[in-house]
Amino acid sequence: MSETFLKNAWYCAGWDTDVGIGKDDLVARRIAGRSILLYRKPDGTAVAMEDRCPHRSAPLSLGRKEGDAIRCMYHGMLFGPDGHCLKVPGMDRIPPGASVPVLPLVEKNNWIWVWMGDPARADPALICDAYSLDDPDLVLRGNSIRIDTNYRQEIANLADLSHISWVHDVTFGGTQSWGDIRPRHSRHPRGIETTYVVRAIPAPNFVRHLFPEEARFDIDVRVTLTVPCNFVMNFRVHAADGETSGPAKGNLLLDTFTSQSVTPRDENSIDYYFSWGTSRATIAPGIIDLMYRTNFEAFLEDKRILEGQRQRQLEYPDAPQIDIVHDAGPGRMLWVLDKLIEEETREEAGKAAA
Amino acid sequence: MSDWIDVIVAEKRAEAQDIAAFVLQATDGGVLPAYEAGAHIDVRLPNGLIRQYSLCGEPGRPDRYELGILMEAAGRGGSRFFHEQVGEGSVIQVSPPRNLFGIVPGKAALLFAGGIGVTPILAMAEHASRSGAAFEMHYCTRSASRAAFRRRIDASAFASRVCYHFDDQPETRLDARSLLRGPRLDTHIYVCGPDGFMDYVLGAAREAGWSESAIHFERFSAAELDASRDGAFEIEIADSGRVIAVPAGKSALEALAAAGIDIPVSCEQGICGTCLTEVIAGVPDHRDMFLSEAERAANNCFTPCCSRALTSRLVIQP
Repeated sequence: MSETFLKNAWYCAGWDTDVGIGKDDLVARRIAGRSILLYRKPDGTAVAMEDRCPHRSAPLSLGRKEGDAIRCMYHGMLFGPDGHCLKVPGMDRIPPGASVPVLPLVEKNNWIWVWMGDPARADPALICDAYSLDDPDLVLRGNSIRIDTNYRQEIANLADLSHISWVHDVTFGGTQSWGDIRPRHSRHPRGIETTYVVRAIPAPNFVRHLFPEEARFDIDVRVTLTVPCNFVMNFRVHAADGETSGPAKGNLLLDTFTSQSVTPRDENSIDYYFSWGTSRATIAPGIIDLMYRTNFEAFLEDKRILEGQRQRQLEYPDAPQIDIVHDAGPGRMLWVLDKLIEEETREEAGKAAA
Repeated sequence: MSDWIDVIVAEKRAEAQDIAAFVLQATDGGVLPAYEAGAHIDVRLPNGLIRQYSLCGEPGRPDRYELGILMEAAGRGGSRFFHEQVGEGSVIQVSPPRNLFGIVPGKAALLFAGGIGVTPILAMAEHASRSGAAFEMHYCTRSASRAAFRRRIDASAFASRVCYHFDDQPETRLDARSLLRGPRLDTHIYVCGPDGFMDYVLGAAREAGWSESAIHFERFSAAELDASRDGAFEIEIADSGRVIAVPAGKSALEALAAAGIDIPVSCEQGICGTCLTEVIAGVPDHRDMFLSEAERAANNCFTPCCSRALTSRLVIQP
């Protein structure tokens, strides 16, 4: 049975630079179980439409740009950016139904967002509030990766950072303290918010050589997760203040910002877009490049675990899985998502009945 | 909680065997927040423990709170700390009073106190006596020497309405069955005491057919898990004031869901903490594996999938 995805939500379709204005820049994406074509019109406006010719299902991404329009290169049908067929070679009239569904598209903070549900409900206010690569106060670098897992496993991964101690031992980790925190997660209509301070930990392994062995830090973590799977985090590194609770009061050494958007391609694969960097005020020499490389390395660590986990889950589809204390974040975030999906399913069933 | 009040112990006196009374006054000598009979306060001890104690001060003293505390050698440490470390002149912090065990106006009252459970019951008796309500108080202790506040009761205007029951004097034993035979519509029952006592009185009331809405109780000990304590309680939603009954045999989460209040849930066994919910007043009966001992003692949240209540009502903020 294929997965039911949330439809009335903005899904990240990639970085704005992924879709150029070149003649061959026809970008094929798989988003929440649908095949989507992205391209730019000559004026630079991006268009998202179903990547399927309504004639015999040939991918339009194998087609050709002609001005604002796309020509299917199987039988030459031409479609405008509103999805309507403009021309069928050899025919004077356009047959009924010869149109391609077009999706609402908004570019915001360097990401392309497409709305997979009812176009009338595509409210841009619901787009994830990510950090912009163009923010003059920040220095960020973006990247992407594909992981063959179900996006729910990625949600669970992001809603529970205790895995930093284990999955990311050689990169972000180097202490078991991440595995000891049990943060409280507050709930919102479309996500959860989590803030906590991890105290008196040594420098993460990837920068440990830059500090004295005995240096200790307090990490102030503020995460917002929204559906379908957007993770925005301000991760602030302070000199340890010696306290065991309350806000971190030590010197702010590095103020980091990351935006991560996970788009399910289908039930077995995700496209993952992410950026990380620091405030201009706390930037250190070479740090942005080191963070960029380490972030990718760390996501390869996630990929290894998540793909192995998915493999086992498919091999043991009926095996029970037990819960532990670290499942509160995943439990809450998946509950929020499932509730929205359930509401949508109920609504659709109501409409179908009426 | 941010509104802690600093208070000084103005008087500490032995009230009965293993029971001491503590009179608290604001460090600035001012008036303390008012309360009604049945109210309790949170007390934050200097060692970080937070405990709930009922108020039993004498009427007409808005500048004083009074607590009666039983020394429980095998307890969780709050009472021992009080008896051993807190003396006249000690400064501690208390919360403003909260009342989850109020007396229903306009109804006659049958008051049952077991041991140190006398503190809210005594306040209720004084209130009922002042307001001219019909009431009767039954006060059970193991022996006469363990009956706190006896002098105050015997000197009161309502002394004749109080029956003492001492375990070591079998002829005085409480017979809840015959006392509660035939529920009276104009009467409510109030019970506070140790678990065995509560179960005995509440059991007799339910067996006799008293309606749940006429039975009020407050438990004060977090005893071992016992299926007989899967009883009914109420949940009040803080922002709306809505009250939802949690019947015996149904989880708080199920009762809330049936009332249309959705709380995220995953494991339903008190392990994962997904359903963790803020508690504003009342004492949860924590049955989860998620909270640490310190988090349990703070009583500011609980897992509604499996935990219940030691007070007849919990006020929560979902």
